[in-house]
Amino acid sequence: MIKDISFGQFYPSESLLHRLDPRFKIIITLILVVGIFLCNSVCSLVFATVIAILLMLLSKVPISTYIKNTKPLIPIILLTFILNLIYVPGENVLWRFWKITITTEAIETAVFIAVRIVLLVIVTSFLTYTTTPTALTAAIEDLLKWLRVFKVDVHSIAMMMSIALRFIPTLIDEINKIINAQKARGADFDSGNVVRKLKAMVPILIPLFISSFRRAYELANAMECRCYNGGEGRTKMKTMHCSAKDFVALGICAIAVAGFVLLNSIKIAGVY
Amino acid sequence: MEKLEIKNLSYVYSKGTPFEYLALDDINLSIKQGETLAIIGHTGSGKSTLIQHLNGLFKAQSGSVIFEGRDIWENKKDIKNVRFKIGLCFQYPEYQLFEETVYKDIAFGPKNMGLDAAEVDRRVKRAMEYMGLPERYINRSPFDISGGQKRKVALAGILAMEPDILVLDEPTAGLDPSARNNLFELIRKYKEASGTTVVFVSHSMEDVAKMADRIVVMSQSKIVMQGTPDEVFAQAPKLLEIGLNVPAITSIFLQMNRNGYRLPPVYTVEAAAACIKGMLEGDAV
Repeated sequence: MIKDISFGQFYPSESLLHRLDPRFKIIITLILVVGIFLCNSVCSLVFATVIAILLMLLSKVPISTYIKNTKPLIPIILLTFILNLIYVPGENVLWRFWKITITTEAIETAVFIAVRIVLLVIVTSFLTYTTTPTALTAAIEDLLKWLRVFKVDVHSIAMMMSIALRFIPTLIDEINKIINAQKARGADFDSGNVVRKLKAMVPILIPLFISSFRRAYELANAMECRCYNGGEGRTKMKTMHCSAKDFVALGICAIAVAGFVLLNSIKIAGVY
Repeated sequence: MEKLEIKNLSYVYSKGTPFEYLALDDINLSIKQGETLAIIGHTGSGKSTLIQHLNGLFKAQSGSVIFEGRDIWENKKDIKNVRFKIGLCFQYPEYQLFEETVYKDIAFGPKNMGLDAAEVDRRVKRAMEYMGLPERYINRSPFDISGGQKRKVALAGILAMEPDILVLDEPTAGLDPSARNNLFELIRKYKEASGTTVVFVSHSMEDVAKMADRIVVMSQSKIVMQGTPDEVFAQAPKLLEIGLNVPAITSIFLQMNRNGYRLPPVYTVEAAAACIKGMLEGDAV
């Protein structure tokens, strides 16, 4: 069950996108995310979808992995779809039933938002699939350097993030171990009503909390033993270098987003 | 009689991803009623994966696990009962403790079995007695007691289910030598009193030599050797080759033989002492 979580996990592969500078990848992802929100015509959404498909293909990560990533979000997508369908006001009434009216405008908004959510998931998972957690946090640290002017301890925040990311797989392992240990004692996590299911979580959560605290203490000690004292004067083993390909990628991304905006003005049948 | 039989069991982790890893490769093994079976092998040889198949925590991808003549997955809903009959105690079981009191924690298993309060009470007290836990511990928090005692409480939690087969994954990992000996002594006494079949994983050849009737050696996801301690430790070079060891006393005797003595193979200090005594009294050399 829990070991199937793949969201935010690195997928090793030898693709061009894996080799891009992580700082550029973060910027590209942000630009694409904003770009996707700017799409409000069918043409630009289709174009954005094409870009997303290209990203998936270029990353050399199997499409099935992306699909697996999107699956847990299906309920959210469905919910927003239905809510939009019902609540978005419009003039072109297609169907009326009791207090519910469905208009063409509502369908349009609902479909657009559902497509946008899927695209957002694809674009953000492209980032985490092609970038190792360490590279990601190093890049974030580098990108947020300017915050130091405001006395923000960027290094500590980045270190906290990388520790948190580093421990996700460890904790998943730990949870699985605890679940199995309690199952071996006949614990039942699958049957009963909500209250019983919540109660069944206690034998997992308490050992998990205790071991998390234990790990935190151990890690803190281990870091102190190696004279860790924060970001002051700290150098990196792997420094990041940007090269021509990074700027090319950024350029392509900017052109794509410009394309989204331009295509917004082309409406099929003058409406969509 | 064969209590538990494993037939052609194979298991692959993360099937179909770049992390794919074959953990068990066509394992065949049978465990007899009442025996003590030790599983040894280097880290990552598949021991833990194997024992998690025994009580159905892992479902065999191919092959089967047969308990008392019936496939444990024959009836999916019955798997919980299989887990009560084949009690599995994980490595560092003290990390699974969660209740407010020692008593409640040990009672978790029996309660899940749906037993009445009187029976649960009897089993908890019996398990505590077997594990040498004094009665005054009943109302203490399992987080306030020493590491060795925590381990015993966790083990008692498994014993309280009164399983037919007790499966232990490195029961003495991380304990000091005296706690180790003490724990094995308690397990041995429990086994003698209850007639339970015991399967345990260990990295200590001394413990294996002392406890086991039969040894299974795993290497690279396969069973590479099995037999009595005599048979297995006689093949010291092969054990060393796959990264395992023989008991210290066995290697001392092997070295002595290389220096011209003709000593029989031994694997416990007691046997070695008897042998040397005999030698000094003048029947060997």
